[in-house]
Amino acid sequence: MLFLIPSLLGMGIFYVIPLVGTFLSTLMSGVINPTFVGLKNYQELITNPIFRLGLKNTLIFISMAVPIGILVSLVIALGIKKLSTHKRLLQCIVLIPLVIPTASVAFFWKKFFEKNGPFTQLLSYFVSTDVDWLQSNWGLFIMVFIYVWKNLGYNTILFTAALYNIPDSYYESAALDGGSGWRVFRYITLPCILPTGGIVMIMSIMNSFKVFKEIYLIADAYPHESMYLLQHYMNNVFNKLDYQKLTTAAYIFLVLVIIGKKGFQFMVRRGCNSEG
Amino acid sequence: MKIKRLAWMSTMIISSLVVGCGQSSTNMEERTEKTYEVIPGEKNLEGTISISTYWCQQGLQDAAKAFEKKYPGTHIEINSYIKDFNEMDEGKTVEQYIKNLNTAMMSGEAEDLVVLDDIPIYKYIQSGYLADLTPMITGEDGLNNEAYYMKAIDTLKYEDAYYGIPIGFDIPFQAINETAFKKARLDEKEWTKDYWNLEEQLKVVDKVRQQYDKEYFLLAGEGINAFDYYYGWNTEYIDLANKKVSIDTPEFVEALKQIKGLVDQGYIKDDYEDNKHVFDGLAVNEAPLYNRDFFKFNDVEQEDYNWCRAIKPKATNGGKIKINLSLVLGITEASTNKALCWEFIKFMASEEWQSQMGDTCIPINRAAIKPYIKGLMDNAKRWNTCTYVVSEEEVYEDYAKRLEGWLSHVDGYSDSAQIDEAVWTSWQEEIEAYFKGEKEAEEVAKILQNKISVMLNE
Repeated sequence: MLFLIPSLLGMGIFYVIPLVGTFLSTLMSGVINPTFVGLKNYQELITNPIFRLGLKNTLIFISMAVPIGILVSLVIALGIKKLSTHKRLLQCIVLIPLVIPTASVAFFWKKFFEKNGPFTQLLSYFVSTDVDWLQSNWGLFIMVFIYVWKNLGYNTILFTAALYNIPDSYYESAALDGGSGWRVFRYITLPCILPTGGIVMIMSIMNSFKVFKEIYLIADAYPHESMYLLQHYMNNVFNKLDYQKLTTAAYIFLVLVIIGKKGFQFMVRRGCNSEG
Repeated sequence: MKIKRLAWMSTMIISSLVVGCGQSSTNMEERTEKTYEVIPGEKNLEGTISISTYWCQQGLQDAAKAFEKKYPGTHIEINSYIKDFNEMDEGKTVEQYIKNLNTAMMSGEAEDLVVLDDIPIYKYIQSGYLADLTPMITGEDGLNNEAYYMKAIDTLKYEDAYYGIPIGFDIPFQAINETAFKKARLDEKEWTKDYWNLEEQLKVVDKVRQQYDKEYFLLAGEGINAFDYYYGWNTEYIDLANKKVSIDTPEFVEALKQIKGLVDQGYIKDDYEDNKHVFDGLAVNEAPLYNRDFFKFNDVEQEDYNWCRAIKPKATNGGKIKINLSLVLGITEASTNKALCWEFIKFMASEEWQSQMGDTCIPINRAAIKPYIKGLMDNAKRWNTCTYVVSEEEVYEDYAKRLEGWLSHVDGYSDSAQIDEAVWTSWQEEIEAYFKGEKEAEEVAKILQNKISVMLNE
């Protein structure tokens, strides 16, 4: 027990005390001469249209980006497994976006999607358009695209490792029994990679919050409303010295993340049990 | 940023002249030697207060020393972020000062008083970091319209409460080119409004172009500079205090198109070289030259190179005048010596101090107007620019009466510091994109409406 004291002390000083202190500040009116206001800050925040916009966009983004990211990386991992040559080369190629610095990524895609940029010029071969992509509702899809592109490598590697861990004997037995294609994938591959899929999903959700960095560099602190995330809100209220709104938003965010994580863990566990 | 930097520099220079108080800005020797007379205070004041300011104004230091002399038990510490204009280029920008002040405010360690000229006042008010001065101002020992120009002080009101007091103010004036006036045979009686807005100025320019020389124009920069000069963010479209945005409106779109049209037709330019601009702005201390009948130029040959015909305040298109405030002082909520802070503010606003302030801004204290006018007239004599043909009393009475008339049109103050950086950047980028032909006016209006609404309502 005594050996735990240093860790507990560290946890206490750097996690528990700040966590509790921050929560208490969400129940106060301000920093200078604070008075207890109960849940008033939460009520104000939940009814704030800008906070709700950020929350809505964040949830939409996660619900689009995470499944697409998982699906695309799984398809690529399956493809890599099926290749007989150049496997390592392809694995390196998909990992490249992960190692490119964020500022470079942001600069590139900003130029690519700007009005009359390369994307518009490519599209002009098929359809004439004069859209400022980053200042339109297409902004959301651009965010999803950048997120999937950036995190493809990471998820692909995880799935590739999971696929290689499936014993070949399973596929041989399935082949002997006449199984092929979708049925093999549905009843052998998918159940075996489900635990990894759960981890990939959780990691993908965590990484989806990090896309704020690229979006901030591409579109600044106040992007088009379709790209305005919860992190934008929190970043901006911090710069405005609104300590109460910041801590309240952080707590709401924390609760949502915990609920989401527990929910997914439950689903994954249930999926593994039913398949098992 | 260039425009905002220029605005900062102008504010610095004007502020330093204002509170360089009492001395000619061109005479450094006189400035350092002048002493201020104070009557020993009757109240037994004691204690120390600190003042945070971005720029170390000479006048603020002089006022602090005078206050300490008046009340020997007091001490005032002035913490200025920069001591020299050169330090601005060394990374000590106003943005950095604001960050430092933010940290101090949030931790409750900020100074007792803050000079609010350079910082976004509304952010601090809305965050509760500035003390509500209303009880002090409206109290027994407070300020009132009989003794002070409350109209100027009221421009700082937020939700019917006061959070800052300006020590002085000035009104941006414009006047007509003497040559254009004479050659186009203009008549001041033709213009009945007591301010110049775009509509009135266009009438004058049209007449000059028709009757004298079609090369004459309005000097207002180009592109966004021209738009901001006549419309600007802080007139009709963005109400920072009440967080209202009215940009996605036909009026805004029309205003953008109007300015672009005027620039394209050559009515608005950015060109000083040939002196063919019909209007020019006046420095604060040239304002008493407003009545052409009151004086004559000493150098008649130079007369045609002046702008002093029909001197009137510059107004928005809606006829509202935005004044410039000088040395706005606020008390921080965390201050433990608010009473002493208020005494210092009252001292700076008193007739005793403001009578010695000199000529570089209109004093907030009505009783100090006479010494102000006298200072301006003395300067004119000292610089040998003109000779007054009426008495000082006549000038004073006429000016005081006109000042009341101008103040009746005042609707707020113009201060680049109030421009929230994010709002200003968005405003500038989008409007510049319109003037460069990259975006349509309607598109710009929509983008700005959405963006700035989010910024203000977070």
